[in-house]
Formats: sequence, structure tokens, C-alpha cells
Amino acid sequence: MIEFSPDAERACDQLRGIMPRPGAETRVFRRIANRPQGRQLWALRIAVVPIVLVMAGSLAYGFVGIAKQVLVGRHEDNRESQGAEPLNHARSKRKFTRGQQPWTPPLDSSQPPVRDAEKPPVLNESGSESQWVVSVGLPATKPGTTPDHPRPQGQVPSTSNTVSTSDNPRSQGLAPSTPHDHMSPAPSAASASPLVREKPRAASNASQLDLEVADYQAALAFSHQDPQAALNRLRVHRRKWPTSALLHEVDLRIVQILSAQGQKSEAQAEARKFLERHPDSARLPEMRRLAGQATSDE
Amino acid sequence: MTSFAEHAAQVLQEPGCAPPARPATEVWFRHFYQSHFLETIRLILRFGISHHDAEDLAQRVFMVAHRRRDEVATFEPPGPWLRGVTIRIVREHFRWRRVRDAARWVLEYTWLGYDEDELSPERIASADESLNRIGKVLARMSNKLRETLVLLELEGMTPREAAELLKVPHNTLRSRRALAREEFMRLWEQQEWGHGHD
Repeated sequence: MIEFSPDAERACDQLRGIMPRPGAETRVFRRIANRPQGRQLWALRIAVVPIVLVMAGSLAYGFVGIAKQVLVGRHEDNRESQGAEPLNHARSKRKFTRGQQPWTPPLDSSQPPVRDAEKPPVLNESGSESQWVVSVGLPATKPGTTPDHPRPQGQVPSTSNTVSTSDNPRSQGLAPSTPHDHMSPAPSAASASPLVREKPRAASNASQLDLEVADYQAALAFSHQDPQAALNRLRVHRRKWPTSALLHEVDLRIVQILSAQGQKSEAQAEARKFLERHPDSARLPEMRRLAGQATSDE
Repeated sequence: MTSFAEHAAQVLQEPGCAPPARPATEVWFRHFYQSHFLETIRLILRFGISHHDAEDLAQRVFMVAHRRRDEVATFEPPGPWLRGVTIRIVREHFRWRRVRDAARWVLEYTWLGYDEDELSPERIASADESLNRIGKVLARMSNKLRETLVLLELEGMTPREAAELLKVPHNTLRSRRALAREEFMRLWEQQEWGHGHD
């Protein structure tokens, strides 16, 4: 038999002689006597049941909400990959009624260029947003070609203020452009046609247009916080792709940024270049005004 | 002519005026509780359980007795049965110890942890180094060895009584006793080593 050490034996002795706290007997008996029993116990149980049910319901509601978000998110991803409009996105932004003129960003040098996130959504003929507008209506620089460019992945909403549909007169070079052509491209009822949607493309099938759009988007990302960086990138874009499908937008942005920065002479020079390069632009009156020329419209 | 005392006694004996008699079971339970509370809570405390928890466990033991009062009233003597219930409830207590420790950790980090309680005597007791230490050692032992050690070494029961209480053969209990002492000393020295190097 193993013997305890003296300190262990001393501790055991203390435990052998241990006594309860004073008043423990009364305290415990009172707790036993006052415990809920019979009707009280049933009342307690009945009171607890609705609380438990409410908590379970809340939990179930939360889980269903999360599951719904996950499932709807996946569904929207599938729809986007198939070229359809995202449901929630379209629903949440459907604030413009049919035929209403969307807001046009100012081209005044006293006001800074507006970020893309602040611009209103572009409406198509049916009154809903047109998300895939760049690749559809841009063959203006490439007449005769069909809008066969893949949709840019993940960069669509901010380019939605470019050109909306393939039957845009300016984009096909068939008619002079209207004031709502570029920055405010809501088409009139006369030029209404069904929305042309491109076919889904594989993400790996990146074309030049993808690169152009990506570069343009990257430049625009700087426009609010670092206009000079945005300006440099836009100029690089123009040098890199002289026949860029977004050349009109790039030139326009350059003029906007220069105007906003107060570089009047450079802005005027760019405006003159704009007039030469895009004689059928919807922005001709403003560009002429900026370039110091008299507008025939006024 | 009757005196006032006789008249009062007559009035008090009328059915409407007599104080309600306590039920026999309630009287029996009160007596049972007073007779066995001390030995029950001391047995619980000898497992190294704190005073606060020991009172809770004693309450649970006597609630079992109250629930089965008709049956318990026939036991003669009821002590062994009560000790068996106590051992099972203590075993359950140690089984859920980790869960309670986690809950206590949560409690300490909430506003409830700042509430003042009535544990000052317990805190004085737990300040006693030896008791605190033996409690930790007993808590680290297995149920079988802890029960054997407590019943034989601390409670002073004979091996036969303990074997009947734990429902194990006599020889099993003897071997458990040796193992329990060995385990106790091993953990005790281990804790002493830990104390010295803290």
C-alpha cells in the first residue's frame, strides 16, 4: 500500500473534518421547499414553450434567409454568365420610368468629373437597365462588323453610359447623333427596338475589346481621387489602341478631366482634337464651346 | 361555570379553528432531512467539491429523496440508499465539469461575473491551499478511483460497505484502492512539481 506524504495526509485530514458553511442546512431546505411544483411547474413550462418557439422560428427564418441569399446569388451568377440581367441588381435600380430622360453628367469645367457609381442607370427600350451595352453598340469604329465581342467580365455597370443598343444611329454611322447618344443614351421611342443581347462567352475568351474596356475602367478608377493618374492612363490608352472602340469615351474623359482641373488651354486643345476625330458626336456643341468656337446649334 | 382556558380549549378543538395539520409525509421528510443533511453534504464536500456546488448537489440528493419519499420511508436504515444517490449525483457532477467550466468562463466575461454573491466563506475556504490542491487532484482522478479513495480513505467506510455501495466485488475494490492511492500520490506530486515551477 502506498503511503501518503505528510502534506497529502494533512490535506486528507482537513477533508475528513470538513464542515458545511453555516446556515447551509436551512438554505438548502428552503430551496427544496420553495421549488416550483405541480401547477407552478406546468405554468413555467407553458411560459417557456412560446419563448422557445419564437427563438426556433427566428433561427429558422435566419437560416432560410441565408440559404435564399446563397441560392439566389448562385442563380444570378448563372444568369450573368448566360448574359442575362442580374435580378436583384435590376430590381433595386429600377427607378426610372419608361421614356424618362436620364440624368446627363455636366461637362462644365467648374464641376469635377462625376464618378461612374454616381451616374444613373441606363435604360433600354423596355425601361429596364441595359447592362451589356458596350459590346452591342460599339461597332461605330468598325462599321459592318457585328457586335461579336465578348462581354467584359465584371466591369459592365460602369460602362453602361457609353452606347446602348446596336440600332444606335451614330454607332452604325447612318445618321447624325442625338444629344442622348453617348453620355445619356436613352433612345427615343422612334428608334426603339428589342434589346440585343450578346451570347454568353467563356471567361477565358478575352478579346481586344476586353482589354480595352479593362484599361478604360482602370483609368476611370483613378478619375476621382487622382485625376492626373487617370489622365495619364487615358492618354496611354489612346496611344496603345489608336482604333479603340472606346476612343470616343477616352477623348471625352480627357477633356472632362482637363476641364475639371482648370487646365484651360490643354482642355481646349483636346476639345479641338475631339471635334476633328468625332465630327458626329453628340457632344459637339459642348466641345465647340470649350474649344472656343461658335456653335451652330446655338 | 367554565374557566376561560377551558373555553379556549373547547373553541380551538372545533374543526374550523384548529390549525391545519402538516401532512405526515412533510413531517417525515423534514425529519429525514435534518437527520441526514450533515453526513450527505460532508460526503459531497470530501470529493473536493466547493461549498457552493456542494449545496446544489445536496439539494438534488434530497429532491430525489422527496420525490421517492414513499419508497424511501420503507428503507431501514435509509443511509446506504442516500449515499448511493449522492455518489451517482457527484459522478454526474464530475461528468459535466468541463461544460460547467466553459460556462463559467463565459459568465466571468459577462456582467453576471461582476455580481456579488454569498461566497465569501467559500472563498475563505478555497483560499486554503491544501483543500484547493486536494480538490484539484481529486478532480483529475477517474470516477472509479476517486470514489474508492473518498469512501475508503476520507469517509472511513469499510471495504465491504464501499463494495456494496459501489456495487463492485470486494477484491475489485481492494485493487482499486491501491490504484487510487497510487494515482492520488502521482497527481499530488505532479501538482507539487507544477507549483514549484510556476
